[in-house]
Amino acid sequence: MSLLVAERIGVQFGGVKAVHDVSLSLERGQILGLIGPNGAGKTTLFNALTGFVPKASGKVLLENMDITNTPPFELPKLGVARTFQVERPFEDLTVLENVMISSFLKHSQPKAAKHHATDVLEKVGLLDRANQKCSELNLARRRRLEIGKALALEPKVLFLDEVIAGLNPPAQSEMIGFVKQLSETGIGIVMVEHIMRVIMTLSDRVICMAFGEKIAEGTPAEISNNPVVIDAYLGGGEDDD
Amino acid sequence: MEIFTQGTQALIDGLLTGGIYAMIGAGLSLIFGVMRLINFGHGDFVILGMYSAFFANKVIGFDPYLSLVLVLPLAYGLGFAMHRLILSKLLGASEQTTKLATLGLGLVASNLMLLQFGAQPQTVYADYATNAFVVPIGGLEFRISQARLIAVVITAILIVGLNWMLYRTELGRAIRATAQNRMGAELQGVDTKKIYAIVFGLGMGLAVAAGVLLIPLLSATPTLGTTFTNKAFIVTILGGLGSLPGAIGGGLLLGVVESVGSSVLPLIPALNNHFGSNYRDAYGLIIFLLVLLLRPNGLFGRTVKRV
Amino acid sequence: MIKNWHPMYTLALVIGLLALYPMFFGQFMNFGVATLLLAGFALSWDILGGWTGQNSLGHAAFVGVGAYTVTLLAERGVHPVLGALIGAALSSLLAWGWGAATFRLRGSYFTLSTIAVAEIIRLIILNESWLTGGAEGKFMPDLPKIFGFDLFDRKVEYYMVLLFVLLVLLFTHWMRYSRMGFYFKAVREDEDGAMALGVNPNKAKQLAFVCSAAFTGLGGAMYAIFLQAFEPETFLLIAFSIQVALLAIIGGRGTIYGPLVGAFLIAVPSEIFRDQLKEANLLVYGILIVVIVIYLPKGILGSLEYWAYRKNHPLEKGKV
Repeated sequence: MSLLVAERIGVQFGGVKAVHDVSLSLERGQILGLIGPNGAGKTTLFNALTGFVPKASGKVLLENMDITNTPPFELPKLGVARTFQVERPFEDLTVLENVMISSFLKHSQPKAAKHHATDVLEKVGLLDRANQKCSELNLARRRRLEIGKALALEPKVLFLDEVIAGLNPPAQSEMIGFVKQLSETGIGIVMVEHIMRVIMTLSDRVICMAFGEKIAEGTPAEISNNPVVIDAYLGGGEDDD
Repeated sequence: MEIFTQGTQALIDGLLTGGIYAMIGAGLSLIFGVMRLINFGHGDFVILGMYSAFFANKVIGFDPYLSLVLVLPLAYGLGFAMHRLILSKLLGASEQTTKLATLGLGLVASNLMLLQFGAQPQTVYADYATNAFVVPIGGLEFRISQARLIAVVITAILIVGLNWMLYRTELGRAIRATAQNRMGAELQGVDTKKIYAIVFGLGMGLAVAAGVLLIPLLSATPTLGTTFTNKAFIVTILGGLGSLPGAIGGGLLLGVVESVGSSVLPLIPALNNHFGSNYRDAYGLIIFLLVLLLRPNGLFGRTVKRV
Repeated sequence: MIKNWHPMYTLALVIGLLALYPMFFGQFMNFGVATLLLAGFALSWDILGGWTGQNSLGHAAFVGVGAYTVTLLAERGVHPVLGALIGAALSSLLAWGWGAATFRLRGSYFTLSTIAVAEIIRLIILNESWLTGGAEGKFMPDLPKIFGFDLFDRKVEYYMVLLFVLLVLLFTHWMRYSRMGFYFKAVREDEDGAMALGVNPNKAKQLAFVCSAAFTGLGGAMYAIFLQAFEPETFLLIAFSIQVALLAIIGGRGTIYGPLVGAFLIAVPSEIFRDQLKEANLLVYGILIVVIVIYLPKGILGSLEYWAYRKNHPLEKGKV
């Protein structure tokens, strides 16, 4: 039984088919990379799979349970967590308090939640900033907080939306290592990323999207040599920062 | 048959009152459409207009409707200054913040009126308030209150004038550009801060004008401020926040709903005369709630049309 | 800073200070009870307004429900304590239904809906005089003594209201460290972000609304006892709702003591200038809210708390 299966997902905004007939499957401990030029529909697909955008068609199954119509706030309970491309910390709350909100999902007592959140902060390297308000964090820390909040939900499936782009090289390497570690704990990860080398290093399988459709699927090696993919990125060559 | 007569009379009255409501709503819609600012003190500015006309009448002896000539420019100036000096400091702030600031300004305005004129209702008597044109239609006679008719005519003139200004003058173009895209307008050389102050002044002018038009029909009391703010919101939500034609439609609809509700419901035997003009305000509020819940973008057109 | 200062010490200190009031200001009991009641209303409002960020300008309705319930029941021989509790329960019920219908409205749309619903309730109370006495209002009948205390004695009322304030404060203290309170704040900050973490925003807002309404209704019942005679105009006008909301906002929403601070800070000058201001006491509120919103957006206590935080976490040069 696969961890996560999405069958023929379609998303429509007015007359525009933002996502059309996209299917994917994810196993435990597997990292699925999602690439494609800007506007390909990657984040829309994420939003559809995590309940933030209604699906015009298709099914989503989590360990064979149908979660197609589950509202977004019930998915964490079932084991699905996500980050947002533009981080969404609760600005007025401290770093610790932010993560505690997630911890409260599975630890309803305040002391337990605080304890759990502190552990998570340690894992993502933000313990020293625990009592700082989020509005003052720099980008790298905001990213780590974003992941920390998702991790504190103790998910089975984790959707990462561009957590590496925009970081400086040392931070990038750190993050890559971190994501690898996460998958080794058995979490299934679907990650959108623009930076080719990151996707190729981390992913077990890669899906490429363009104009809302899946245009290729395969191992990193297969994808990087696929003419259709190269074509879609014509001029893009997103091998930069 | 009586329902028909009463109903039609109520319809006429409602449309006439609705014209004034439209003016109240137009100012609010204009301000929102251009600056995305929800003026929670709008109704208090309407009673500012009422008291101004009262003052002009009692102290200077002006006919209230004529005092518009004097009061309108003053109102515009006040609105302009209010934005320039106070509201412009909140240009980047959240909706909640500006909501509170305008609420506060409205409170100050209405409480100053309270201090100056007292809590007792202040009335202005004008001939045209009690006179009416009698119009025979199909064997029945309908009354059209003179004051209301004049008010609607003045409203129409002001709104048509506003529309002309928006679509046929440089200033209007600048305003529309700012409403669409502030940064874009700045790049085109528009001083958007000044535009905001101008628009707020215009909105204030419209609110005050509505108050002036109302004074022969209604006594001025400071507590009316919130009632009028409610009416302004009902009108703009019905018509779609930011839409001037919507404000007109919304105003007319509100006027009719209140009028028909008050006059016709008592005639329905099953209701036992329980509901009539005592619940006048409630009819509009109920429609308002329904629209908020079911069609928050307004009843007229599916998208919120901007100025 | 005193080490190991438990938040309960602050609460004890505040309540203790307030409890001393009748001994030192015994001639100003009317002012004391009225202000403490307002503080209680502001504290109750804040549960919804400050914690979940939903601005209600219709809370006067709950004051009314509490007041009319306890009075109507007392007329029929029901003990005021029971009457007050029923008033609080009815307020919760009202809030539950009201919230269910309107919580999908965000921001100002929600606020507008609260104004409308509260107005409709006022009109109903005003017009259904067979039940409520209409515009003439109601008189509180004689009430039984509680533990030998006469409920119409101002000093007794003061402590009764102090108990009310204590209850709300205990509740907000508990909220501060509980899952519910955290969820409320998450909803306030970012509803979508909160959803991604398992928070159901509508359920949270509902819960806050119900709790806020319950406390307000309880206070409303006490208000009726304090006034002994009231009419719809006394507290069902939107001006009252605005007053309560502004007290909380000026004092500092989302802080535990902010609304209390707001109430006392504003009540005192309003009272001093009562002769000049007469009924225009909201003038002070209007000026203050404009000033606060521009210069101290977090409210008085909120700004103080922020400065204290700043001192412990100084801003580094550029973000680090």
